[in-house]
Amino acid sequence: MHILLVEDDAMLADAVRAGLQQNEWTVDWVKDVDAAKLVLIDHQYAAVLLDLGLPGGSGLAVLETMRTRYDATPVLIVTARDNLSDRIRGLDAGADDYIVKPFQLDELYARLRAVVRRSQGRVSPVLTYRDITVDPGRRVVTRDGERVLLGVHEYRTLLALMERQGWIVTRDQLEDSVYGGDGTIESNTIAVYIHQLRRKLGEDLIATEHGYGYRIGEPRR
Amino acid sequence: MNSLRFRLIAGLFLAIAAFWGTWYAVQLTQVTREQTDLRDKGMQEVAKQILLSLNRSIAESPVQATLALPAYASFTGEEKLSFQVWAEGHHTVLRSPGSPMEALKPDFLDGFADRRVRDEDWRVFAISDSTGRVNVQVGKPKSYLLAEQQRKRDASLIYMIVLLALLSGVIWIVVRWSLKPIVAVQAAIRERNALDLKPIPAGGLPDEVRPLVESFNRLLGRLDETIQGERRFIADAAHELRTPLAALLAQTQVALRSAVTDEEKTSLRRLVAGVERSARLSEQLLDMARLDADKYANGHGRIDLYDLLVVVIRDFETAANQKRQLISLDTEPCVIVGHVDELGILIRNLMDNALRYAGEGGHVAVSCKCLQDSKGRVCLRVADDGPGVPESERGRIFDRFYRVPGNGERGSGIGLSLVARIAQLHGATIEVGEGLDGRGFGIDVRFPAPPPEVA
Repeated sequence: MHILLVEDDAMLADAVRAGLQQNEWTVDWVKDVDAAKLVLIDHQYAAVLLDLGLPGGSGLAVLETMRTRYDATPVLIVTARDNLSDRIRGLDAGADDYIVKPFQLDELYARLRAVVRRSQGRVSPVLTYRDITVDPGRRVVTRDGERVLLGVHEYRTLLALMERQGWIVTRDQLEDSVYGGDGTIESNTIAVYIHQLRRKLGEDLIATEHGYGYRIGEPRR
Repeated sequence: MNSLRFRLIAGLFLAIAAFWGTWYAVQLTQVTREQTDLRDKGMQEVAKQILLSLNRSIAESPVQATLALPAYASFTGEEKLSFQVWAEGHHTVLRSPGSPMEALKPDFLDGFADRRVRDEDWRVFAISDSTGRVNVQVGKPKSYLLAEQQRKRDASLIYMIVLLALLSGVIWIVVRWSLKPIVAVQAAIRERNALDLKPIPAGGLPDEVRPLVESFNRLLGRLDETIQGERRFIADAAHELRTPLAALLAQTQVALRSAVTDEEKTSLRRLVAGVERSARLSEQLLDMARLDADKYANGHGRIDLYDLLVVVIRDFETAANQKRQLISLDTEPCVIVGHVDELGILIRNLMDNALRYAGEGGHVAVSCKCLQDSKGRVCLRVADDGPGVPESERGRIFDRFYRVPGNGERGSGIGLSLVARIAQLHGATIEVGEGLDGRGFGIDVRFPAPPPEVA
């Protein structure tokens, strides 16, 4: 796999590159926002590892540029643990996942693999069901032409259901789409997101298939 | 009472009352003396006039029957001036009606005297004619004069009290008016945020207070500069520390992968653990410094607590997995008002603490519920099934640098103090108790309900 590493610290970049190469991934390394934007224009990567604290602008600018160009390359942001607001801004701007500094390399591999896997077969055109539209490129959801503000997890739940219209999406599949975790955390959060989505987008949008999962749209056979 | 206003009002009032009282006493003595002199002179005059108007033969004349008043006039004897005319020193030849039978001045010597007549204090005066045969005595009860003086004293006392009351009102108004700018400064200071370092408005302040406020403002300015500098340092230090630690960790893991012997692997694993520990400690110290510097004073907003929980808890997923720990999350859509980064620190430290105490294979349960009480509070609960914290230690775990004794896990003693501080900043209360299944340790953080959303 070919990875773009956007990181200003040479020491950290060296270590990460060495680690990824041990995993037989190839790494291109750029140091700042402008270089990253430039290299992303004519290169296709399996994933981008993006540090948010860069000289000459935040890594968010790179992400925003990519998403406005409908570049759906999965992005894993690297951020400080204490800066939660940055991380949430990153996710809202369309980052696929994040990893906090300092991280374990094993965790980095796992997260990179997960975002790459999830991105495969992703469709980037606008998804529509009844009066609801989801624009994955711009990360915008509208209902009846009006923009609806969704939290990042609500959005991902909706996206996972919209991408598989007519099919039942199980709770496990949804958890994987929303968090991409390794299943150590047991939670009822998917039910909470479904509840919130119904509240914001209409009670009858999402059907519950008891014992299986959730579905948007008429069932397909 | 250590209030300037109270001191001024009370001090001025007491001083004025004391001076006035003294002046009044002096005046009273003076007036009394004058009145006594006047009375004495009057009595002397009357006695002389009586003496001079008497017939020379009065000494020989027998006591005569007196005339009577006509029916329409009455005599009350209110004036109480009595006189007697004595001849040859042994019998009265003339006497005012109602005057005592005995001599007013039994020694018959010329001059004044104070005497007791008919159980009353009298002032008496006697004068003899040039031959010494006729003696005229005049007397007046003192009570008459005293009553008059009493009346005048009472009247002036009432005036004085009324005036003093008016004066104290005026003093109060003047003191209040003079202290108004100072009270305004006091109110301005009281309403400030604890770490608000903006200068205090010095406009309209009296000359006595202005230098004080101005030097205070200079001090605030210097403090502000210092704190800004400190914040810059903290921000720089955060960045400078974190990245090399991350690099060190990554590099060590790269080395670990290519390590061959078990010996190498063991020592590299220890290195990884050491780097992680120092990373965690530096993070907490930075969190603490930042909270102390009140970096997050702005930026409070409505937050979906459950959504935030998901993000923060995921940070612990890998570490929990390695220690075969289970994290469970049970949430409701709860909204609170707060600061994202601060709440992140709070949740992170609660989680970190619970996972360390739960130990290998432990279970940590996180929940966030909207309490069904009248206040509509939101309760965040983090509980573990570890060995727990003895009841006697529970009160102290939120103190900075406090560690539960005998605990094998190495905590810095900072985490929970950060939790307590952030809870306080959010108006939340903390309760500690048992954790899961009747064992372990649980912490409840109860946030106040958010204000109703403005549409």
